[in-house]
Amino acid sequence: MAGREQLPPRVTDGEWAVLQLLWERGSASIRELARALYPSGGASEYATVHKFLERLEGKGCVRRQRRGGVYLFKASVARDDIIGRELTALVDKMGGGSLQPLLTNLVRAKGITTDELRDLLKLVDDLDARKRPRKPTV
Amino acid sequence: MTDLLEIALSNAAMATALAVLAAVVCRVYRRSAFAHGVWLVVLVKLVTPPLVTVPLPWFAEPADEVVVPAFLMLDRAAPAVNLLVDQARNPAVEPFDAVAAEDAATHGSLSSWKLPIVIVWLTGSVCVLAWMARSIVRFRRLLRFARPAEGVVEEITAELARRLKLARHPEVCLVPGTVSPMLWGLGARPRVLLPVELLPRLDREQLRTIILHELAHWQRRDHWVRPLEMVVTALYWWHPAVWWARAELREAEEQCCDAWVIATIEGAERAYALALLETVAFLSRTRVPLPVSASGIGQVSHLRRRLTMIMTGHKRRSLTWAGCAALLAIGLLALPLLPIRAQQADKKELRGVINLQVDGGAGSFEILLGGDGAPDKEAIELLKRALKLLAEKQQVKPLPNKQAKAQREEAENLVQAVGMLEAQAAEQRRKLAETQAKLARARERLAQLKGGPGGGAMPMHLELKLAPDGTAKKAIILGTPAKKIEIPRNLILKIVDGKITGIDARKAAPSPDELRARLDRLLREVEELRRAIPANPTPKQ
Repeated sequence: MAGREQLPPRVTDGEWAVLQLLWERGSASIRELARALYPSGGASEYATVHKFLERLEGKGCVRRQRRGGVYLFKASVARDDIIGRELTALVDKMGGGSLQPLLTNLVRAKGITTDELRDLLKLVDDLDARKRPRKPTV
Repeated sequence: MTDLLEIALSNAAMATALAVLAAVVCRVYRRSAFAHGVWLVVLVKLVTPPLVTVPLPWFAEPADEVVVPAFLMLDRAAPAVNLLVDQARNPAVEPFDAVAAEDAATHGSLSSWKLPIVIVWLTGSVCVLAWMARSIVRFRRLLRFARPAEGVVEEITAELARRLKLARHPEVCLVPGTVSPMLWGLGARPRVLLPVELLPRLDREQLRTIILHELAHWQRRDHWVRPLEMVVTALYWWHPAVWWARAELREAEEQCCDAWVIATIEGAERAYALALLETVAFLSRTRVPLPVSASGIGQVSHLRRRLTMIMTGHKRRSLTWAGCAALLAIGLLALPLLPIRAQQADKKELRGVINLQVDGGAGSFEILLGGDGAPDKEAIELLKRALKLLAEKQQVKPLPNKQAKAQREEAENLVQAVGMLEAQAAEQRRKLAETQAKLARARERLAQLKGGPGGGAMPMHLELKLAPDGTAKKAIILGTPAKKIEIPRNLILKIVDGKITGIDARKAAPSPDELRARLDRLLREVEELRRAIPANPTPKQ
């Protein structure tokens, strides 16, 4: 789908945890992130965080800068963008589709075309006109 | 487990019937609140344990007859029916408590057809639950970033709460993303979530209607229905009636809240309808415009109906007392019932009063109930299965093909061996006759020598070399000339005080080598004989 490319990318749970820390702290080194995420971790946890950061970098979610011999990472996407994207995807799954036991939505209709919208607007106007002969100005 | 499965299946069947009834009732009596109640009953029915069993007489099973095989005896004294094998009539079968065995078979484990069903069912339920749990966890994690609404939204909420006379109301939060306004009720405190980006698209009046809609959900306790839906969906994920009921329930909910909105705010129909359309437009904005063929016709018709109802519908917010009474009646009637087949109805009381009547000589029994003569369904079922078990246990033949073939071959071999032995015996008999003839001739000569024409008795010494067992192996006749006679192995000379008192012929145990040689000979003979016999003995004439 062509339209999806402008949207912020989806992130996995692990990447999400790293991003969250970066939003909170502004910027951080791999070591700081690893210590925050895995307080009792060792080399393999460090490698894991490194992997998350590389993937996030690949998705364009983080940027790195060299500061005094270490790389500092910084989130390059807005928190609300990512949260909005995740929330949208989740709600689509939970509330928009056929599996909808979790949410109480206002409306479920998605993917309505302009023509259909115009049609529905006309319906409202028609019904309104029939109800009140003197049509109020919108 | 079996009982649970039966209850679940029975509930599923009842819910299907209720769903059809609900659809009919809602078509006749078009009230959203009533429809909501009826569909709720459908869902609740699925998780209500049956309290009252209702026999369905028109659904009764035909009377059963069990023919008990002749080799079985029925023990009438026992409180339950005991099957014993009549040893005299069929000694091959061990005594065997069929009922006990059957009990062990059915109660210890699930019968074969039920097990796969239970496995698939439970696996599906676990998957659905896992999916739900994961969604909830992720949603709550995202909700941590929701901002409590301030300013206009907060003002409107407080005003509406006053208008609805709500002592307290759920917190209204703003969230990013292209999501619909919603009430999130799974958690410690319910929250109304509004998408930040929708707000600029609505004017104040429209915003009021939308917040009111969500507050109406909260006031109606619609968020309490969500956990119920989750449980029912997880338990009956395969049941179309669940999905149907849920969709109808959702639609009824929305229509009820729509009615709340237009009843609470005078003349808000148009603003509300436009707010809904604005929301739909907002939700569809980020989507790629779909090709016309793929557009949600169902969605549009649903919206169309909803908009029409908003613009023209009546404004009753809740059920009338008549609607309440009708719902209560439906609930009370439908929920605790467990329809079952009629014959099973009184099985608890009927157990153990089974009379057995011997049927004229054929060795079959008719099983009748003590009281009114209706057959006890459970006992008959038990008997049938017990008999089947017994029959299986007793059945030796037919053997599997391979085994049967092996047995046939063995029998043929035996016949052949017997034939050979007989031939051997004949041979032995012939030899014995020969030897006896020789011996007779020898005796004759001996007699001639004793009292022969020569007169002078020829002194003769018979020296016998005795084997350790007292039989003679060799005899030496001393005279002129001395002669050695080999005594054949199969002759036994009985010697008492150095004198031969008798001669016995016996079948000497032939050595294996001898036997083999003899067998070879016989085989050759048989072969020759066979060759001598013409291949086609029936002449054409």
